Amino acid sequence: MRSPVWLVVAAAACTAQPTPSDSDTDLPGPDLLNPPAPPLLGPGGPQRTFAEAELWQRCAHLPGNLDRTSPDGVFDVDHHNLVVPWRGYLMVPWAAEWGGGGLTFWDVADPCAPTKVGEGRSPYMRETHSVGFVHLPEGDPHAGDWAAVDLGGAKAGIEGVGNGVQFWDISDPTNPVVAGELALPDVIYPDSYERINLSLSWQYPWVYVASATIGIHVIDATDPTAPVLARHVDVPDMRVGGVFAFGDTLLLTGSEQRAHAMYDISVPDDPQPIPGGRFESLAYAPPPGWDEAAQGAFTPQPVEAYHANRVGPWALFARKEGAGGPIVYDISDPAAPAYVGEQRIDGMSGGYVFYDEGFLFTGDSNGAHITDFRDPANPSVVGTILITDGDLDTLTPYGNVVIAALDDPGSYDDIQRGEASIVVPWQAAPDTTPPALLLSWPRPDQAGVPITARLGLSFNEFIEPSLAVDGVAFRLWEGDIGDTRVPCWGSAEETRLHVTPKAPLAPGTRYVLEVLDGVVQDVNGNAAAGIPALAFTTAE
Amino acid sequence: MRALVPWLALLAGCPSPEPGPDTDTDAAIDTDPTAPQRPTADAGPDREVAVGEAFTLTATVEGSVTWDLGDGTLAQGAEVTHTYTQPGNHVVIQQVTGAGGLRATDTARVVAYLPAAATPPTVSSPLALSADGATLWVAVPEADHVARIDTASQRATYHPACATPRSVSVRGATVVVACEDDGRLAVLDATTGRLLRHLDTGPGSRPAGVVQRDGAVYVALSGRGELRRLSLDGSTNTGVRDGLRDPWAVGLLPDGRALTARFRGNEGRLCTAPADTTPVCLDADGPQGGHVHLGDTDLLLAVDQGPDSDTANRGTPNLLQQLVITPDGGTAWIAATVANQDRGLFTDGREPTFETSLRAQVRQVDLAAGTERYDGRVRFDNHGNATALALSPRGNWLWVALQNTDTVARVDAYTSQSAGAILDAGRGIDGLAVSPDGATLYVHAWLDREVRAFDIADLDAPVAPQRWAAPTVATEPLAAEVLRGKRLFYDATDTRVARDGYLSCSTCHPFGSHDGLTWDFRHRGEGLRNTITLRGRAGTAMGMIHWTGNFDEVHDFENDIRNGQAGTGLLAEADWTATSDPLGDPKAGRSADLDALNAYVTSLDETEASPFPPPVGGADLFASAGCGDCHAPETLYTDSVVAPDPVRHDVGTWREGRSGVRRGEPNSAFDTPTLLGVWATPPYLHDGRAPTLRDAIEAHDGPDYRLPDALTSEELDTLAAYVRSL
Repeated sequence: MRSPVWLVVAAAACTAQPTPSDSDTDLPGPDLLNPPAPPLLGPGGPQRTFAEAELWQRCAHLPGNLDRTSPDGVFDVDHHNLVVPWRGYLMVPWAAEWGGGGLTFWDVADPCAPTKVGEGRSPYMRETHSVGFVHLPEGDPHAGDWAAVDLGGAKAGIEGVGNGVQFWDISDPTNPVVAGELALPDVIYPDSYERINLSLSWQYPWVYVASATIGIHVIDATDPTAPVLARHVDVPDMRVGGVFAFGDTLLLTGSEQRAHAMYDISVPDDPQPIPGGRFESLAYAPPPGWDEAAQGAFTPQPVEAYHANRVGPWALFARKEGAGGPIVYDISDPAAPAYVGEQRIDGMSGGYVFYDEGFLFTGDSNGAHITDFRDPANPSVVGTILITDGDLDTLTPYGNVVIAALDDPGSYDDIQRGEASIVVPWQAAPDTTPPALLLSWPRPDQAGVPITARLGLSFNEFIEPSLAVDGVAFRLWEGDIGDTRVPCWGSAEETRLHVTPKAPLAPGTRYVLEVLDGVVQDVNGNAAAGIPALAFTTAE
Repeated sequence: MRALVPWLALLAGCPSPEPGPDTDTDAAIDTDPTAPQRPTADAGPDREVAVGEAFTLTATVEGSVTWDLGDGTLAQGAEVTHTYTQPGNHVVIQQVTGAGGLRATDTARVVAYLPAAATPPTVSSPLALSADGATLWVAVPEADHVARIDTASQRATYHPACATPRSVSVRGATVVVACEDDGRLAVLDATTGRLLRHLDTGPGSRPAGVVQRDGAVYVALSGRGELRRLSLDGSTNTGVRDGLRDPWAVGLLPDGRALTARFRGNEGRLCTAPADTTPVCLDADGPQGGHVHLGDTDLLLAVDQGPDSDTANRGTPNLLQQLVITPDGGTAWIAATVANQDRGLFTDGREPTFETSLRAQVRQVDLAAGTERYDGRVRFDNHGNATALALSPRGNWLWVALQNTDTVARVDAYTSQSAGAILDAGRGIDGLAVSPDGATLYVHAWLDREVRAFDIADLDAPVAPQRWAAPTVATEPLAAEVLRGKRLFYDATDTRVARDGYLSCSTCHPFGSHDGLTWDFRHRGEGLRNTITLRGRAGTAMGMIHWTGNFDEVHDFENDIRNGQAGTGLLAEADWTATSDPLGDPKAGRSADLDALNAYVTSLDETEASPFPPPVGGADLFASAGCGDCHAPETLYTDSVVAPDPVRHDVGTWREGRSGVRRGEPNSAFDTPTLLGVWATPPYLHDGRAPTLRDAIEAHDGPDYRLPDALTSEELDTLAAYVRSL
């Protein structure tokens, strides 16, 4: 079994690791406090302008390895989920339901003529619903580019390979390789809902894994090549499908469930439930034909969500009970989640959900939809993609196109068409709007922040995650800007940028998080500027 | 610069080498005496309180204390008193905030329950636990016995009862066993297991569910369609309800009302044909849904409106195999398979798939109101059938056996949300029971021939450990190959047989019989097809398989496994390529598993005996009307034989559209079904459009056979009564 070996390696790495606690002379040098920005390797997001007639038309697909004769036996069986950006490329994770998959990088400057840049495969990868990224600059003991995927389970019968999470070295997008794996206890193959990993969130160095009815696992992935299980946390009576870290809070969402919960991760390896943080996803929209005059006001009903997301102040749910479409909750006060709005889409069943500049993107099994949510009180569907076979669960926004992905190809006869992820233009012009900050953690001028706090910035669209680096995108100062730098790690996933101080903060002290102009950017390279510095004070 | 000291152990990623427990404090953070110390939290022990009963929580810790009482109530302070107004499985959170903003949390489970009724409800089950929790009784149908298991020693003894026991009831000193194939009940001494007497319920009555109360036995007679009350000494036998169809599970409410559920079938089906076709319904106005009988009233479990997707399907609650009643008598839960009859190329224009055809569900009935709580239903994705239920002693947790995936799910009985599951709990689970202290779940893994005890005391444990298993047979009653085939028949976990845990052979052929439904098989090159029972046919002993005789060996179910159940197949690919035409080269002998499946299906050689006597003159009328020309008694009432070009007849039952084609080719002739046991298999004809045997007989008006014009209505009734007696 490999697991004990990993544990030994991890322990050795920790022992040998240079630590800032040894003495002040061991503090990170200038190279770590002000490292160079990692250059983008790819051209970024779609740069093509589409004619009106080209909109809502499938123009390309993004297959993984279609060669069934590959020596490793890993090929794409049309089972995809989300796509994510990395260093100017589009990364497409793919894997069969039963295991075996990979990461493929694409140049999508012209999204209708995508070019495959590189691909890595693993016989043990399973469908991932999330990807966490970190760029650790030169000088860091674990320098490199890393991605974490929620390896759900490996194909049965492979000795020594467990079911847990997987870390990829993506320093070279032409040749991504698996760098580390960690089997998690009680996660088994081929289960699909009860004892499986359904997603993860990497707030470097801690990885939180949603392990369905097992609860959540907390992994120390300081060294992505030697991750170590830190703790298992039971989440009573909940099948945890989504896990989303931001600042000191963890949003846990039920998989095919109505109940969800906010957890406190101010002590990062010990998530704790927040009083008032458990809530149900309620649907306020009545079913078609509801006659209020005859039947009275519709009573909001708790409905199951298939999966969820977290953007800015919101928890986004992909409804699957009774109808599809998004339901949105405000979780900016984690002790009092509150309904914001919804778009009921009948005949559908979610799915996964994403957000981009005021629009919600839901995969609803029998179709996928874009909902204009700029006015939460009056949402409207502005685009629909329908299918006749398979399971269209995911619609990921990417500039002016969307990537619609099947996570079930339908019949076995069509299992390898290579069309599980298709590109569909939905806006004519390339995106030129930089990401806007939706929420920070802590809130501006917040007092009483725990000394073990993590910080977060959540934007209104996907950001380029490789730039989420201390000294590149942000700086944390004790006192005011220009006073004393506080060393941090940066990491990112989708719309969220995580800032983790490398040591606890001082009690009763003012800090300022400075966001550097022109660094945080969306997939098209539109860079944010003018984000106000975030000041806060720690608790006494 | 401030010194960066011991926090590094926490934040730099050097946790203790062993995974930490679910504790409330983090040791790593408390290593610097000058730094703020994380507080501790202690929410106290788990507890149970009755709804309306005030209780107090006290914090014995230092710091600012916040309580979340789980019902939306937040409170501050060291001590809080609260009263729940609704039942619930609450997780109470105590959060303590100390210096440095450091927080600690502890939780405690608090169950707010509805007080039990003075007279406890009782329900039928193949697995019964004595009130003191000391003894388990298990019906083992193939062994014609019940197993008695001492829960302390796990010692098992076996006690002959009667033919094919389906349920067992223990109360005080008496055990009563209902035997489906025997037309009688067995009464045993609960202490010794000795057979005391049999209680006759009539030939062909097919006792299914049985319960006891106050010295009386209530039994659902699935063959006679009755619920009867018998005294334990056999001195009285009175009807409670009659005119029921296929009653199976039975329960008694605290108020004395009986609750029964119909196992199979649905008279009508929705008619949602595509706009460009003419809707043709079997019975558009017929009752839709699962039939439940509560006291003197009836209710229908609603048709699920879906929508169809990879995680849900529309459909009718069917195969209502078991029910449970909460201790307060207020709620019944009913296990079901929700079958999507409304999907198909003829029916709604959409091809059925492995994941849109059926799913396991549990339905919920408000017993006081006599109505279903439709929104309280529980849908199980990736599972095909629910076959057994059990409630925790307070009625707050519902345990659900998902038979064809070997799973037992735990459901919050107050929110209908899945809360966990025991995977690999056993094959063919048909009975569950919970110990009186709620700490042990007993699982009858019917096809493993075991009762397994799982420790469920710690609901927070990732896996419920199995404590022990006890055998239910001393000697396996089935031949090894038959048992192997039977296990495959009930299995949807084997990816060769089924994809994603939905369709097994048993989901349409429970107990080897039929589901009482008609499915749209146009996509399989056929048409609307009424599910045929496999019982009594001994594989191909009564000729070809299926309504159009498109299979000539049981092994041809490989085609349904691959094309319907979306399994990868039991045959090797080369063998499949060579034999994929079901009327081509034989598949027999190419796969041990497929041969075993054939062995099991061929073992089903006993027809369900009819409870109805033949009418006077019926046999003569049957002969004179020429029925025997095709349904000859000497050839088991069929003229079907396995042949390259099997005989089929057009007796006028083919209908445009819904009858479809045969093997993708035009067709108007059908295989002759046997009439043995036909009384038990409504609806009738290939498309299930005849709800009664008389309807089916009257439909005979074709080129190959036409009813004599001279038959009077009375003679048609006699003819139907005769066929019903076969």
